[in-house]
Amino acid sequence: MQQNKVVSISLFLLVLLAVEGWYLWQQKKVKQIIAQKLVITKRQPILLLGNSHMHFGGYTNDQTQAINLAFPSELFIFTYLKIKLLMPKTVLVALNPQHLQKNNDDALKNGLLSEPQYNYLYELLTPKTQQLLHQACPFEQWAMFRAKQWFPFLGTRLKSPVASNLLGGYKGYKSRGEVTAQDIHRRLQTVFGAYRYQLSSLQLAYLKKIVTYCSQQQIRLIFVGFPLHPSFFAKIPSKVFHQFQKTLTELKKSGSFEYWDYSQQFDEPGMFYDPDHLNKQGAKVLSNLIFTRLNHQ
Amino acid sequence: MLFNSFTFLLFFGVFLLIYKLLPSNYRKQGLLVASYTFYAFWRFEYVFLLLSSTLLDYICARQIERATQSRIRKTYLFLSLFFNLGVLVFFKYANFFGDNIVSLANLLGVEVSWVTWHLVLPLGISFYTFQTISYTLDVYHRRLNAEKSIINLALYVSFFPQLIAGPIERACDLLPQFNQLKLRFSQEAIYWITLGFFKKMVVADNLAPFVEKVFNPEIRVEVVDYLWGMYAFAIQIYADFSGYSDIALGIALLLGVRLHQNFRQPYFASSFQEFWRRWHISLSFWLRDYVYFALGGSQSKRWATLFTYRNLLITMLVGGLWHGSNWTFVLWGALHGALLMAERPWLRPTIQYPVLRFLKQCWVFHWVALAFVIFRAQNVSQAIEIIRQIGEGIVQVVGAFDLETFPKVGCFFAVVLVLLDWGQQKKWFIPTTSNNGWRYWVRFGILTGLFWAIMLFGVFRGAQFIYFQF
Repeated sequence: MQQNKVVSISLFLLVLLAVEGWYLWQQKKVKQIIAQKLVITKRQPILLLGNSHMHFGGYTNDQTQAINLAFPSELFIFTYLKIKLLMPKTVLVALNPQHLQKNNDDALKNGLLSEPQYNYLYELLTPKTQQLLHQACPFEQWAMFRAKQWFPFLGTRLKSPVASNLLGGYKGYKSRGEVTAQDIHRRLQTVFGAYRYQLSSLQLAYLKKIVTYCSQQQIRLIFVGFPLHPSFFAKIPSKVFHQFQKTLTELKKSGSFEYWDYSQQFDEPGMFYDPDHLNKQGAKVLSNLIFTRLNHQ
Repeated sequence: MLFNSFTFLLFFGVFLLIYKLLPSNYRKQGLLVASYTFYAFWRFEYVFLLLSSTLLDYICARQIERATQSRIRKTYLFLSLFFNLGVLVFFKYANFFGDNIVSLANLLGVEVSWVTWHLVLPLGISFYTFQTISYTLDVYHRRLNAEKSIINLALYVSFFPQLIAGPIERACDLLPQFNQLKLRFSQEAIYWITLGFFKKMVVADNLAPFVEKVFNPEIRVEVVDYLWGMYAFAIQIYADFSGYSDIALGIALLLGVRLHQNFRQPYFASSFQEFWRRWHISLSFWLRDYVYFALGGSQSKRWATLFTYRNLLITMLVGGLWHGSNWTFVLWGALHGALLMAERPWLRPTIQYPVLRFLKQCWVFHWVALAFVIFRAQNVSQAIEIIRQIGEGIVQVVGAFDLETFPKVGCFFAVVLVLLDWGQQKKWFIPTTSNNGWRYWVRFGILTGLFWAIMLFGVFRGAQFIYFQF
């Protein structure tokens, strides 16, 4: 009996060591890939950043000068870090009224920090910023993030952490069919209703930092207002747009930037994946418009 | 505080250490403090509700035991029942009754109105109320002596492994165990905890998003998804609730207390009566002992069958209503009552052919799964609509199968769970059996497999247990 116990515990520890070792090796590989990617992408002429809007809508596959490093649910805190690390000549950041809402902070609740790249990028933040993220992150998610640093296999579903879009990138989505009134209602509820139109102080603070930094480093900063489904646009209360305009005016005081507003660009519902995200077709059309405009200036 | 959270991990880790270090005569007090802390983590103010229920039942039970006059005994019993049921009704059913009385009055042409009360339902109230009621009733019927130690009784009401979602334990089983508390690391405890986490984090939580989508009236899904949703919810609720019970069983075992098993592979039941002996056993037996038998059970002599049917129906209606203040629960209870009544004439022992038993199991499972659609739906009309869609879905089952939206991980592990239950049913690897030979290695293999399934496929977002809302 005693022998059985010793053998079984040894076997268990052996498997644990093997899995842990494999994942730690993978994690090291991730770090190497990201570090390499950061070196290669440094001083890229045009950089596209932001969250799902740019990730879905910034088609750069036929561009040699531009690269898309946007990632779904990315917070401005990381967008700011990416700009600092990559120092592009021009940076395009997705910016709509939705990006200032408090629901963006839910990214932390949904485990953004447990994504392999953010695990790496977190280490590159200043201690003060790390502290800020720690405060903004609910305890459970913070504990998970920390646990994953020790046991990187937690909840991975056997997926290797080495993915093709490690720092972000473009991913085209097929149309899901017609965007319905229910889809719009639900999206409005998620973005604005859930927190009763409250703004995220974390997003606002780092948006301001992005503007200041780009101005100081003479990086051309262009905020892109992504197209919204006409019915969705119509349902957004005017106070949201007033608030957004006010924020843009405030931001002007921190530095210079351009705001390219495409929010009412598309009337055709066929361009949308959902109420405020473009599908593959919409992404190509919008990107074409953006790059044509960039090339003409 | 959820079992599947880092907060609980931290709390329990620290508590185990203290528990180990505490002298044996202070373990009870330590456990009581931990139980109240556990409850206070959710809402501090509701701790007083728990405390007042304990104090009142302590006094009432002592007085019932002491009193010689039937009138006094009845008065104290009434006081205890009135308080416990009153609190339960106030928090859980006030709006339900208010709304329905108003609707009925309006229907009869009487103009009345009801302002909805915004009350937060105290966590685990249905569980601990039923537990305290059983204690007072047992003392009243002289099946149990009134507890002399207030600490023991307080621990009986608030014992944290089973405080929030059961099992609903009887005082005669739990109270004596509090006098011999000891930290006991056993393979059995680890087995139940691992199995419970597997059920919750790997099976239930991986199926949850799909079920949520199917039962969300704002989301359109394929017709065939309603059928899959029915199966998925049947597995989800079983894995979720029995997962909680298994973790509770394991945690209690670590603390030196043995709780009752709340589930015994219910989906292998070949009759509805057997199903209720395997599903939420502690509630079924509570309802049997304190409602069904109180109504006369199946003992009535004249009009025996009719009385039995009436008693069955009332018991199941109470069981349904216990789950929540919604007509869906009443309907769910009524359906189970009807199924129990319908099968009663056919319950004679017959030769058990494996194929026949399998067919019966399928029959029972499908009715139970269908009844769970009513249980899960937000209202009766949504339940009817989903059942209608399921009917259409059966026709299209082969045609419209969308692998992309199908909960593959959840379904794979649901099959693993069925196999595990089957093995448990055959008693191949229950931890209490022999520790030698191949059984040891089978159990070790299963434990290791479950551990890795949790680590790799578990949902680590601390999703709430379904039965916490009851």
